[in-house]
Amino acid sequence: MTATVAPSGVVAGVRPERSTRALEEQGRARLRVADDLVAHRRRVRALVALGAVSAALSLFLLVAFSVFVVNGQFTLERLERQREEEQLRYEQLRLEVATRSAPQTIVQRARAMGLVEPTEVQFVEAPGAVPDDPADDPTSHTLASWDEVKDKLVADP
Amino acid sequence: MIAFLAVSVRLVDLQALSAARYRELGLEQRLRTVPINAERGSIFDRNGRDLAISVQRETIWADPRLVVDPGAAARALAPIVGVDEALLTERLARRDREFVYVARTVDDAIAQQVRALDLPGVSFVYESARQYPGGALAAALLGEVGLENAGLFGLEALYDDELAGKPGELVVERDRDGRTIPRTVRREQQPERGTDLVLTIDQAIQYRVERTLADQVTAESARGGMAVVIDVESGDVLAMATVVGDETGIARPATASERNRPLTDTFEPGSTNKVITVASALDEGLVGPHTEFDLDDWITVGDKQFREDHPHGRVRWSVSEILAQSSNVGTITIAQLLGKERLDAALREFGLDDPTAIDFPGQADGVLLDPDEYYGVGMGSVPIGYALSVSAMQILDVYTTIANGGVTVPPRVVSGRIDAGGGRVTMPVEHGTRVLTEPTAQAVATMLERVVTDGTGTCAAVRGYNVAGKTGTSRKARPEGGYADDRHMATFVGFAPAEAPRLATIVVIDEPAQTYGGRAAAPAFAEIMQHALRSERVQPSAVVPGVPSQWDVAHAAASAERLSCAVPHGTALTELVEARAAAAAAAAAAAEDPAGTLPTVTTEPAG
Repeated sequence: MTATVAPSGVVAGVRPERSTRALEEQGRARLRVADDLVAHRRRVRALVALGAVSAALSLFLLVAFSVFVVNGQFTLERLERQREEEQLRYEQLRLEVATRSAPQTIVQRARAMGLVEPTEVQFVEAPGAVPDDPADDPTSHTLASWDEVKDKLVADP
Repeated sequence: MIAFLAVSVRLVDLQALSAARYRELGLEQRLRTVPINAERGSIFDRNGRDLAISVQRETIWADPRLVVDPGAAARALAPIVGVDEALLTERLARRDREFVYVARTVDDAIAQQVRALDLPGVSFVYESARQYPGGALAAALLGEVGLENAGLFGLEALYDDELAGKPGELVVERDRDGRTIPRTVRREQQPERGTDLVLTIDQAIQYRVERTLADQVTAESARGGMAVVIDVESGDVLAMATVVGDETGIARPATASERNRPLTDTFEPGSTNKVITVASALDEGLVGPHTEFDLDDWITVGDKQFREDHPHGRVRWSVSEILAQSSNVGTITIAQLLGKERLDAALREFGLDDPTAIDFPGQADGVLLDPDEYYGVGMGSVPIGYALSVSAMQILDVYTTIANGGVTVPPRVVSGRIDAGGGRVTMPVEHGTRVLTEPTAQAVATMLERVVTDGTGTCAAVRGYNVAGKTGTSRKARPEGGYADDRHMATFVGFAPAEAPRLATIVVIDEPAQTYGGRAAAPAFAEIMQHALRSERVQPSAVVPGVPSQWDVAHAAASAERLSCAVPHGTALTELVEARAAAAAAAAAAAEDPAGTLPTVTTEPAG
């Protein structure tokens, strides 16, 4: 509490304008202090709001990222399963091709279709005729494609 | 207060002081290392056809603790999976087990049928299974693998380390019930696929060789047979077959667990060995192809008399005729000029005391006597192919060497590998060593042509091609000593075209009905060679207008001797087998009823 003391020889209340000014000055001084506090509070509120928004945004991003990752994981697992299935299918089909093109399968199938094995094989001679060179085309393309396929297959589907 | 203090101390010990140790112990209990098998490499033929391939097949297993009624489950499963019902019941009733096999690596159809039963406690898991698309084709050579995919026989066993690949492993945490705890994979090491093998075998030729050999063994009521076809230039074995004659009289190709006889079995080669004696004498300059000898049809060596198979009286034969007529007396006479040291050296130079260049489990070395052990009769026995023991592949090596101008041709069955990354590695062709001079080899080849043209091997003639080869017939040794008179090994080995050899083949028939190599083995040789030469598109031998071909001459000679040079197939073979069975039955009936008191049962032909 500040006591106001009038100067000596001056009756209190004789120079009111000066007292008012002093009060005003004092009040201004107080008002200035009040102005800083509000601004500070506003800043704090803004920061809190910003923090909250950031946190919410981060949380959202985190959740979104997590969903994205999990979704990617699911896609990866689905593709992995699909790859395994395709690899199994590849193996099964390759086995089927090999089995169906094996000589004994062809002979069995021919017999089932009513073909009869000859008791003797006769060859026709063509004197002077020169046979072609052995064919460049292989009788199976499995090996050629296998060279390219092998390193893309997993070792244990 | 004391209790509180004790609990507190223990708590501090558990949570702070010994926490790390207990954490480790817990981890140890949870951590499991799961092996990941590597896919076994394939085996291809030379054209890239699959001979052995690994595929994923379903294995049916059960948790007996979850099986409600083991008896009923076994009853339902047994007929589908082909496992004995009692055995299955016993397995499914074992409540102390968490895992028992019902059937491993079954076909898809079987798995579907079992799945449709929807039995509690029965589950499925994929396992790698070895498949052989050609069935028993080349089975004795390829071998097979066990249930755990480890090679047991043949090439599967020999190359097991390469074919098997490198297994990987997965280290995970598992709960008390063995379930994997999510997101706990500690370490994953990917397995590496096995190396593939590319063989020199040609699937089509192999099949043809097996069929021809099986039919000839059946026709001959033989105990078995073996055959090999080899490319003279590269040493690539195009076919290697073993056939087994069984009680039914119908021969079949050997299974994977049976011996690959061309490499594993040895026998006394008989007359096919004479070519070494003759070639060495030629190479040493002791005789020429036209050098003549006066020969009786017997000769005494030491205290033993050696005779010709076909008595001929006293004749004057050239070296060429000695080989063409497969004269024992003539060959022994030439061998005496050569001497036992040089004869022994020649046998060893041709590699008869070493295994062949083919790497194969159980491959036999030849058995040769030391010259010091010839004693009195060795110089009579060894030159004509007795008192030594060799494999069919070793004999074929000798003839391949002659066909190759006197330089050995190391044979091979594996031509390449394909590594885990798909990179192909071609195996280099090994170089041979010179055993004979080129003129000697050519002279011997010319003499061997005569064997087929008008000698003992007329049935080996191939239409369109000149063939050079040699017959061989040897009596089999008896366990109690000496030789059996009624059990023989009949061989024909040769190459074609004689003037520019491309392929060499050996056919051996074990205990044939017709005894001689020229009759039992030569027809199969001719059929196999005919097919192989055409399959390889080998240019036929030149035809000189007005001059009969080798086939014409040989065919006429065989016809004059009333030889049947065709391998019976199809209905002809069936009729032969039936006629033989009927004759055997009639003989058995006659033996049981020598007086002929029982009524004779006859069967009328259908139609």
